Parts: sequence; C-alpha cells; structure tokens
Amino acid sequence: MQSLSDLSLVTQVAVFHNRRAFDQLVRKYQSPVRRFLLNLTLGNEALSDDLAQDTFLKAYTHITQFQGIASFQTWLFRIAYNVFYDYKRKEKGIVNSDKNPADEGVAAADSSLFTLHSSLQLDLHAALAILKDEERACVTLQLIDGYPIGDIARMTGIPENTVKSHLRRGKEKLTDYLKRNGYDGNR
Amino acid sequence: MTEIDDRLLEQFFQPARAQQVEDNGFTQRVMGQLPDKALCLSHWWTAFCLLSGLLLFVVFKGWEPLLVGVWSMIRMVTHVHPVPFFMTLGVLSCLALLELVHRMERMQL
Repeated sequence: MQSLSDLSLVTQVAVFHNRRAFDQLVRKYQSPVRRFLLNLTLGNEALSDDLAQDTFLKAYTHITQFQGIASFQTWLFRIAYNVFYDYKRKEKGIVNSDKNPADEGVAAADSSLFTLHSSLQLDLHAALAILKDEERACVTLQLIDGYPIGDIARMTGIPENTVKSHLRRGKEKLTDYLKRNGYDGNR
Repeated sequence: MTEIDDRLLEQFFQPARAQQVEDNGFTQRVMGQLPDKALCLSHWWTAFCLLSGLLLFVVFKGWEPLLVGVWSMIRMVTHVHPVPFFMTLGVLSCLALLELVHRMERMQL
C-alpha cells in the first residue's frame, strides 16, 4: 500500500511535474536519508544536509529513471550514496593525501562533535569513525537501516561478496572497539 | 582479529535505529531549490498546443484530408508501383530509426 502511494506520487511528479507530490515525498523520506548521510559524515549536520539536498534535487531531475522495481527509499539511498561518494572523491582531490585514512576519520569525528546533541550519537559517530567509508556505508545500511546484503550491493554498486567482506571487517573492528571501550560491561 | 559479537553490535546500534531527524525547514529549502519553473511552463504549453491541435482537427474536419491521403496510399500500393512504394517505406523506416535512437539517448541521459 505504501509503495502504491509512492508510485502514485512519483508518477505525478514525473508526468505533471507536480511539486506538491514531490513535497510529500521529501517530507516522508527526509529523515532516513538525512540520518544515513549523517552517519556517513560522522555527525556533520551541515555537510549531511547539503548532501541530502543534492540527493533530493537529483531525485527530482532524474525521477523518470525510477522504474519502481526497488522501493523509492532504496532508489533514494542509492542516489544519496553516489552523492556522498562524489563528494569524497572531490574532497580527496583537494585534501593532501599524505594523511593516514584512520587519522582522517578520527579528525572528522572530532570536528563534528560540536554538531552532536547526545552522548549516544557521539559514541556512535566516534565508533563509525574507525571504519573506512565503504565499511561504514555497508555497516550503517545493515545495522541501522536494516537492508539485506543484496539491496546494499545494489545501492552502493559494490559486488555482494565485497559487501560481505566490508561487513565482516567493519563488524570485527567495531566489536574490538566496543570491547576495548567497555561497552560489553567489562570496563 | 576479534570475533564478531552480534549481540553487542545489535545493542549498540539499537538507539540509532529509532532516531528520527526533525524536518526543521529542510523540505522547504529543497522545494525552494527545485529547477526553474520554465520547465513546468513548457509542459503546460505543450499540453495547450496539443489540445488546440485536437480542437482545430475536429472543427475543420481534419479527418477528411487524412482519409483521402490514406485512400490514395492504399490505391498506390494496390496499383503496385514498387519504386514510390519502397521509397516511402524507406523514408518511414529511417524516421522510425531516428526516433528510436533519439529515445534511447534520452533514456541513457
């Protein structure tokens, strides 16, 4: 039923350029898309909102390419991941690549501390900062957004076996991190 | 490497799953940045032209010259003049091919 109403809204946007229909879609999906990007950017609200805006603008201009095979949210997440990936690629072109990727991640987490509201989010983003970009995307898509491996592969454009490897490595790193920081109650 | 502790990870990510991001004017900002209204206007203009065309077609009985044209084409085919017939067929095929290529390009965009 939910996907039927989504399809109806998408059709109205694609055929009649109905802005009200698109407004409803943005309202409905802004939270999961912004949360996904917030986790990918380690809690940087300003950056994740910019990327989320780009995501919805791209969705609007390419709405005729939505075929309705996957859900609208899955399609949006795919665009969001591509927008984030493009941003990282541009950023890597600008920033000096001498830095250790791990240091870079922790630095990003530190700089975003000002935008965080609760200690829970702070813990979450600090933990996600130890992961590489692809690992973080796969882990958040599975453990927070609850997507199966097949959907994650389609969204990120990464082969399923590589997604599995990213998930395994990411989960190993996170388990190690959480245990070292006493989240298992042994501190 | 440490063995994966699924229970610990599940517990750690549980609050993040329930997190909802408030809109706080985000939708309004996105709607304000949508591409120019000119695109929307062009669609209305296309619809207007289409309706006007249909109206004029009905008012001036556009089907009459159309039927004459179709009838003469049928007569031409039945009289078997292979050269003009195959020339017409060739032109129509080229047009269809061009339209197909154009559509495929648009789909790729």
